[in-house]
Amino acid sequence: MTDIDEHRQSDSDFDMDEYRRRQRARARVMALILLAFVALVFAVTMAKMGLATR
Amino acid sequence: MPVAPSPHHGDATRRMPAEWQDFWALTKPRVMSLAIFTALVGMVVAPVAIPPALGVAAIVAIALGAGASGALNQWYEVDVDAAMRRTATRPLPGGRMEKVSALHFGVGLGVFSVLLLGFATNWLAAAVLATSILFYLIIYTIWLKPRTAQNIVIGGAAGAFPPLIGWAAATGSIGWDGAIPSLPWMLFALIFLWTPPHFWALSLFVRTDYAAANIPMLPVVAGERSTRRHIFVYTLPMIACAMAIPALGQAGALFAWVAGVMSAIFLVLAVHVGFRQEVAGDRMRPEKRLFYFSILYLFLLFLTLMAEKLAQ
Repeated sequence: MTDIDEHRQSDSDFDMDEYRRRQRARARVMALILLAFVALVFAVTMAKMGLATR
Repeated sequence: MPVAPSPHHGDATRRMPAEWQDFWALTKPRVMSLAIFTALVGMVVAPVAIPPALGVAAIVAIALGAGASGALNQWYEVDVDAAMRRTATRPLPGGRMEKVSALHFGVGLGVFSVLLLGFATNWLAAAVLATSILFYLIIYTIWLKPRTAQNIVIGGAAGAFPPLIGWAAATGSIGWDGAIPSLPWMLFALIFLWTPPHFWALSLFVRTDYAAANIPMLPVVAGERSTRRHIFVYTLPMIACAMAIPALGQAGALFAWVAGVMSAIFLVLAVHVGFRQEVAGDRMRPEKRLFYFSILYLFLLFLTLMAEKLAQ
């Protein structure tokens, strides 16, 4: 983050609101993907345990 | 409107992070949907039923693998995409994403997809998925596409892997039934043979794009007339392959009927495109019709195969 803060001083054109909006949107999507991944790993584990005990 | 200046050209000033939608676009979602569908069919028609959770994981992994291929293709072809009107607005040539982000995204997605498929199903399926990603990037994108007009003929194999992967995920095998190719290999062959007429129809109506990008697609190198003949000639083995599936007892009567009717229409369209000359102002309508019909053709054949299996 250091270089970003340095740039903030020199780059007056930079739209920090847009920058934050994009970061937030990406973070939300990443959170959803991680939640889906956790659910998928859980389901796969259950299925594999089911196969092992057959 | 303050925006990042030329992200993929290494400007040292601060860059706006790409939107998540740009990463999504990097995966070529429409191509990915075809891979998902054909992989699903390969999985469903397999003789071994895969537990639903593992099936979902396998489809997710195959989708991510296809997405990785798309991302790596766009990473490598940024200059080509920039020169073509059809692709100039993609995230990289459009300047909305740094090139290195696409590379990291593609490699990460590819490695993740292979590991996910390996752990969820089996390592044979994972190996075939890895092969398909590397084939698309190295054999097709890097090696064949910029060098030979036959790029799409051999490169078409890259898009033919998904049913094989779906079958391997369910069964743990992709073997042949003695001397006769097994069903997943027939599906592989069908997509492999379908790809040239499908892409050459497209290349006829976007040939100026390919010429501008210096890509030796058949219409650019051999001319329009030769491409038209190639479309017709390559349609014949594709139809033979589709009809061989029920003839070999790998599909039922419904598939035979659907494949027969759809193949007849495909042949009529291919003959029309193959032996006509472009008329000024016709906007290449027959070529566009063949291109869109070819998508419907593959979709309906695979759908019928799956419906027959589910109805058993």
